[in-house]
Amino acid sequence: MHTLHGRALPVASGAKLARPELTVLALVGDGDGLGIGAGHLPHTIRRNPDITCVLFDNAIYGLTKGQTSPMTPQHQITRSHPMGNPDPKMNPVLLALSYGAGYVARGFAGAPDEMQRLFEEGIRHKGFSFIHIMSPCVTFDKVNYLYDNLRSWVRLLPAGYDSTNLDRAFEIARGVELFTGLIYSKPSLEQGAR
Amino acid sequence: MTYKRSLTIEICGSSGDRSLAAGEILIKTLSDIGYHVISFDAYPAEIRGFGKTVAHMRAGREIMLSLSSKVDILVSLNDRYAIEQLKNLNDEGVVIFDNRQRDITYEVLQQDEGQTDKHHLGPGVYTEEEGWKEITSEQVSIAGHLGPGMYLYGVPLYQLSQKTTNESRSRNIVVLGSVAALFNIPKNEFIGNLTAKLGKKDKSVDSVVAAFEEGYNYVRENVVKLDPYSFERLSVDRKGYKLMDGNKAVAQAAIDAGCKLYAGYPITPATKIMEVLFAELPKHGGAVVQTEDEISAIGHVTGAGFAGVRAMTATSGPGFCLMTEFIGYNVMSETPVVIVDSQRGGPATGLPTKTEQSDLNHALFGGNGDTPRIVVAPTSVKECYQWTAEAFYLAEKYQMPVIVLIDLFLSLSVRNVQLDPLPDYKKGSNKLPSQEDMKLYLRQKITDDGVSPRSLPGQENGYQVVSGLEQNEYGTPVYDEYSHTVMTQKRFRKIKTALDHDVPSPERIGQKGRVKLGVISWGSTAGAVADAVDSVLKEGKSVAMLKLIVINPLKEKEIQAFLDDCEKVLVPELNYQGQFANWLSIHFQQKFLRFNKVATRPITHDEIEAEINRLLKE
Ligand SMILES: Cc1ncc(C[n+]2csc(CCOP(=O)(O)OP(=O)(O)O)c2C)c(N)n1
Ligand SMILES: [Mg+2]
Repeated sequence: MHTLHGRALPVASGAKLARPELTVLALVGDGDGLGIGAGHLPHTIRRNPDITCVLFDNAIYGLTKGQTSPMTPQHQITRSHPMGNPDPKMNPVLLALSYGAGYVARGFAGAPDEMQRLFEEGIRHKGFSFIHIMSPCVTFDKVNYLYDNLRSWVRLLPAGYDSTNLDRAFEIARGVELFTGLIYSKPSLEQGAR
Repeated sequence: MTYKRSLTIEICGSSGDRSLAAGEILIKTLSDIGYHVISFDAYPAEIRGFGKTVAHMRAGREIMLSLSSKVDILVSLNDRYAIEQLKNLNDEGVVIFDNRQRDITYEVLQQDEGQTDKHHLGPGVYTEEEGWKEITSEQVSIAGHLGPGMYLYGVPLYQLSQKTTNESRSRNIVVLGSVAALFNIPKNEFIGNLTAKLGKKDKSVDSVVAAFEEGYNYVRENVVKLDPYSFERLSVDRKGYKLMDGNKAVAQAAIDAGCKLYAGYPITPATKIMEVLFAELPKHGGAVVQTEDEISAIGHVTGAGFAGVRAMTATSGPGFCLMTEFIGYNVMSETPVVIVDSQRGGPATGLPTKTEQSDLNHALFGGNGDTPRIVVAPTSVKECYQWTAEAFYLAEKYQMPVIVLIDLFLSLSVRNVQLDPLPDYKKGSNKLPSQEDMKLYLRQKITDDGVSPRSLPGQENGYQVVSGLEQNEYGTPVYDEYSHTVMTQKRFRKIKTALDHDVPSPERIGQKGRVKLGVISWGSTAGAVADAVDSVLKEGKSVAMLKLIVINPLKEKEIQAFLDDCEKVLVPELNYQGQFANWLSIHFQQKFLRFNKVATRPITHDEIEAEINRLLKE
């Protein structure tokens, strides 16, 4: 079901509540999940339904042909900001951690094996899982999320990284380096009875 | 009951006087002894502080669907406020008041700056702006304010309350005793309801019953009854009748119709629907979510609808606006959802505690594109039950949003109703795919009736894509002229099918054949029209009414037949533009006479009666 722009999380939550035996994913964009539909994210995390949200971040409004998105870096020139984007971008991993998500990961479209592993783990995780995928828009972004750029930016998490340590997870999320992999996971928070 | 077709009673106090609790006990008792009742209380919109609170109820032998403009019996627990209510009292109305008012020391709870001090103050009035203001006894007593034909009965409410319960707060109970004695209301039912209501909370039930008895005996011993009003027990069986308001009826219907997900966001006057369901729905295997906003609420309901489960949300105007994009989405994706909109005064935040019928345009037209949807508007509490249940059936059967338009008056007004059990066939109305359909499953299959067989998520070979985009039969997005035309036609064809199969003919009430005046009405105002028509018919007037519950689609042939019978046609409603009259004007070549109010209160039957009589004389 392709829902309205920004509204995948509520619809997915409703489907899961109605039919708990279904595996439910909510696939959202960066403009979608962090812009128009951002208000749903903290509350979905709070309610902790057993669904997986994948945020496909291409740092641009792709479908509408290249306007600034909440993930577009400050000063970048876009179709909507010919003089440069005046505002800083958001940090979805930090947001998800701050709101208390029990499974937070980041992947890169250039590393499909890792992505697959994260999706599988995320789906298995009991409770809400959030996966940030950096995914180039080859058509409307000629400067930022290029495959070559991203390949040189991303880092694997340090050896021995403990993904159950929330403080470490926050450090990783706040740092300038773009780590990929499972950043944080903890046993499911208890879901309230409905 | 003597003298009149119905009596209207008000118990007026300040918000600490518990006049609403007294009203609840009274209405329950009147219902128990065989009367039809309808209540609509008025309370201050402010959450904190002092203000006038009025329990308002009408009781009679016949079913009543609206309120009267005038009050017959005014019970005062606070004369200052009750004096303001006198303007509504009938010329031969009754007033019951505290005749030892001068001695009163009110206990006032002041909570300024977080303190909880009790101050004993003289008679006075408290406002947020001015604080406590003492007033003189002339200002305070209602006795000097009555008209010449009115009846005044004094009972020392405060004293009797102190005597029996050691506090002034039982004046509401004392006065119920006096009311029982004055109007011949059987005492036992009263005491039963009193203990049932207070028994759980109040350990000193005995003293409360004593307060009631004191009020009763005082009247028996000291008061000479002069007025003609009484409520003797009627010999009708009211077993199976329940007291409930429209919100409760909507919630009950959701439970009984098999709703398994309710999602909502608090908003007056619909909040209580969510509150009731939070308590009840989980017992019936359903889930309830309080969402972050109304978009999320309808989103949840959409997800559940897609998953094949009956689901509902309820809101009021501002929240209904936020849901608009999803109405179109549900039309396009052919997803069943039930949306209840309890209308209040608008636009914008508007008048949160006042009733209106001004969301009709939005219910009928809200959203982009050509968006067929079913709109139903119950006219009574009983119909709130019937038509909310029906909405689930229709939404599921026709795979589209069904909007149930009620209003604050219906939401909050309590009536005694007997609910008819829902027919079983209405409990599951999904058009499921046949084996043949499953060979090559087409979610948006073009069919004669417009309805495509719907596979539910997880069904083998039933893979489907649904979206808010225009699509072909497979669900693939397409934007060509042919597809958009046939798919739009398909979506509208469902409305036509619903009209032919599931929309009953509108009920005609009143004189048969040709009439001088026809009244077409909808929503809660139809209750006032029904009551008014009933009474002018008794005077032999040539009038009939047509009650429309299904607002879209319209039974055009039946309505036209009614119009053909009428010399003139009146359409009264509680909005400024005449939204319903406008809607009818799109469909019929008729000049509709309008009667529009933005009164902040329900239209009364006597207002309609006056308008009918005026038009008949013209
Ligand atoms: C309410 C609403 N506003 C605007 C649009 C137009 N619109 C469609 S997609 C989109 C941006 C999507 O950006 P993003 O979520 O980052 O997804 P991308 O296309 O980049 O994958 C917009 C603004 C819409 N469909 N609905
Ligand atoms: Mg994007």
